[in-house]
Amino acid sequence: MKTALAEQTIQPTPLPPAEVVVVGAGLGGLSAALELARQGVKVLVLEQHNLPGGFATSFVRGRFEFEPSLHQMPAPLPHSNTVSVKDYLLEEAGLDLEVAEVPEAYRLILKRSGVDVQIPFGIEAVIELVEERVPGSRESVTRYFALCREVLETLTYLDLHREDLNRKELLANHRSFLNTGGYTVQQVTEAVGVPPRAQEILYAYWCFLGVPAGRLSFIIWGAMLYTYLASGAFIPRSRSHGLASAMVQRIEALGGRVEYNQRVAEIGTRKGKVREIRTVGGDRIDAKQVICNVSPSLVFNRLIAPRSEVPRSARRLINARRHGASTFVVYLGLNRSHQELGLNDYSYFISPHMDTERIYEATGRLEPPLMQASVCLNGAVPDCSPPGTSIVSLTCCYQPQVWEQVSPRDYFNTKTEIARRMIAQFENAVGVRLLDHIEEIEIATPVTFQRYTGAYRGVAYGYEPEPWDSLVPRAMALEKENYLESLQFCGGFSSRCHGYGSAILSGRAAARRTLAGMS
Amino acid sequence: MAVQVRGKYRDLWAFLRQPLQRRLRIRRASPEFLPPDPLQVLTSALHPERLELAVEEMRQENPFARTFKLVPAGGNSEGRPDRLPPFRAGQYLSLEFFIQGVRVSRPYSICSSPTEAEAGNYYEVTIRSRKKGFVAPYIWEHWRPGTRVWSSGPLGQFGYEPLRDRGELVLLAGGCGITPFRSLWRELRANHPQVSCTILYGADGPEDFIFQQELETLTAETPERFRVYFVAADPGPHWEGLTGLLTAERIRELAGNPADKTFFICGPAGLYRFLEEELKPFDLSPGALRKEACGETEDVVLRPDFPDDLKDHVFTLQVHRGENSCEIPARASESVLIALEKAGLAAPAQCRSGQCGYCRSQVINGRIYVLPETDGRRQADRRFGYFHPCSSYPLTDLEIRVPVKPPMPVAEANRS
Repeated sequence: MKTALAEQTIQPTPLPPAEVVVVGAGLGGLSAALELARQGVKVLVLEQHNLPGGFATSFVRGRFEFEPSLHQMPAPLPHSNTVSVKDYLLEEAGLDLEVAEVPEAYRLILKRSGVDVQIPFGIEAVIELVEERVPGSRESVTRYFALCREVLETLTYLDLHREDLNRKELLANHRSFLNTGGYTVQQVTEAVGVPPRAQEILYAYWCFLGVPAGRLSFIIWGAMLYTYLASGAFIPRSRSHGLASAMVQRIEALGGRVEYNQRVAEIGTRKGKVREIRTVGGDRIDAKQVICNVSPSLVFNRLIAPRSEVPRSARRLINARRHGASTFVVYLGLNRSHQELGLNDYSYFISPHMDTERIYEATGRLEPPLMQASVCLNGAVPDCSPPGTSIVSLTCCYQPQVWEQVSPRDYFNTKTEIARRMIAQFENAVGVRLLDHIEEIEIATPVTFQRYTGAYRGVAYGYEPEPWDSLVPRAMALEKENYLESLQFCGGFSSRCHGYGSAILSGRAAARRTLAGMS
Repeated sequence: MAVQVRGKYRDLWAFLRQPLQRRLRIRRASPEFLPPDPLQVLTSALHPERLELAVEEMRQENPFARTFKLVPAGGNSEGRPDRLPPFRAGQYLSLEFFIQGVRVSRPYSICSSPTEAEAGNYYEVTIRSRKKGFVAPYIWEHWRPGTRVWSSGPLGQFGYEPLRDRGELVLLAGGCGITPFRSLWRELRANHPQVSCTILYGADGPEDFIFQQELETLTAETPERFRVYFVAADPGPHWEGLTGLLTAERIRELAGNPADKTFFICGPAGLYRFLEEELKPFDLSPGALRKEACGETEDVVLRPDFPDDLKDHVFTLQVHRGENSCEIPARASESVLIALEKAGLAAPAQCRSGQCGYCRSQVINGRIYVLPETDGRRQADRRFGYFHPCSSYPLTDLEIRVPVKPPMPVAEANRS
């Protein structure tokens, strides 16, 4: 019998040779390729999807182009030598990228706790506002931010002095960092004496890291909190796809190549060294140096071939860690402007309370979330949608095991019902009617994110940064845990933990390690 | 003054012991490989990259339309689901063909309902024969019970959305555009008792209507929820029903006050242009007017803004894919995607209507005409010269870069 595709044969399209192959065009992979291309290295990026960016992308529905995942990236800290992602992208790498400032830190609405505050950017202003809400908190909150600043400064110091770390200087000038570096957010915040009512107001950003205050590393938290509140935040004007595309454009202008629809099937390895990349389409590429913007979970469990080449300790490390949250997002294209609707803020954190342990626990169950982090994009980019319309996205987290329980037949209804409840939560908290104004709606679940990024268990948040697996322990173990020579990791699962800025800086760092290995 | 948490020495110890703690945790952890990703089971069940289907039955709907029942081909290679993915009424399949040495795909709406897919594990597609077509005649000639067909999973956003749409729907269908609506009315009837629906079905002649009997039964059995009207443009002597076109007057007369209703349109390109004018006085908000992607336009040269002197022109396309480059001819009147396919270059494509972006490619040199109503490009893509070949036409010679079509897994391609 003649079949429709009987004549089909496979014809691999030869891929360009390269000195370094980057697997995955997420922000980490693109940033690694960008740095290599800037140093004159021939680099090839292989991406399984037909778009660059991974989670940093966009999609179009009707008249709207939606931002899938980014809420904000930290702006440069004034009068500081901390590494700034924005300066790196715009000044150093020279990307053709327009950015917009995020107008204020966040509006926090905690119904049960009776909190509804707008937090501005600027440390002094935040201290003032918290004092107004929680009289008597000024002194402890001031100390708290001073500590966060020290943490950030030490991280910068460590970044700049990786090679020539001076223990004496570290002990003498960075004691606050050392004294708090082994503890959780809760332990340190209490020790500083920040009153519980002030903690509630200051903890909102915890959901960007996805680990409750009782387990979250203080170092990563303190640095993030200070960076955002002190320096403000920005987003790309034409969604994250604008950022990813600008990176691709620059990489290619410098002689690098990004190839789409090229899924890597295997990373051929011999005697602890990477030798070859094999794609699903049957291409084989010599690869002496490889940078993976793919989680170690996938690389060591699925890609390295033969499996006997995977060191036991690599498997143990993965099993010791906890996979972080994935997200659920409701995207709304509304047929009224944000002013008409009364959406006066950019970023909304909405929850009954700020008990991070209980909120986290609820993310482990298939039910509407306690807390949502939502954005009205027009608050930062007024013309992101046509005149008279606006874009709102409502986001919450789920732990990886949650959506695995859903059966295919219940999937669409489950999505719709959770979205309905999140919309209602937003409407009740903010006092704005959304449901009557929906022109376009899309709902993304961990399944959606896995479909487009291939992330293991749909995880968006890398490995959970508890103190033992936070920035410093990861950085200190970097060499020891470099299990295969000539293979480096970047992206949200790598040494800098997750987040847009971290992914970008991790790519640059991976490129520099690769360059060091080549010379 | 440095901050202290538990005291000078304990704090320092808490910091310094972290690498030890880390080593200990790693040593205590299991050395096993991770089990298969449990979420991947759900993701592949919902969104398989490819389905291998087989024609189980075919049925003649009228002289020009044939319905094919597709079931999982099954029993051949590992890892392919034998359960068809659930879908939302209104979605389509992108079916793949290899015809005269050319690898092409075409989107076809699923005309059976999600409930039937769940209960009976099949999809149905209805395909109209077209003398001029490339793929439809091939299907009519070659598809028989047992024929194997490669397909995408269900795709597309056309259909009823309970959080967005009103409780009263108006479905405007032209000719073969009735197919996604069949899935929709079956689904609404079974699972959305609060939704009511007016179906206005226009076609050239009485013999062009598909599913006429089913629609008559639907309205006879549930007249309070489903009202159906057939409107023939060219009725001939024996037609006793409504005649003419789906004009604004007709729509208002049959569907009632347009306010607080959601309109859905599916049909040939001409119907969209006609209805765009007719529906203007209704002043529908854009969200209340849902249009199915209509596939490639055949008459782009008739557009008022299309340069008249180019309509018979054939340009040269320099195409780069991976390390390969070649030159191919491209008519100004045909989409860049068609030019690629005619030249035997398998190009990625799904909706073929500018919307899904699956064929996204890059213009390096030259200019293109993009159909304004199906311009689904992202902002940054416009800035950096990316385009959707399925809705773009050459205005000059072009140099373009096209990604490879995602390959079939080696094992599958070498089988057969």
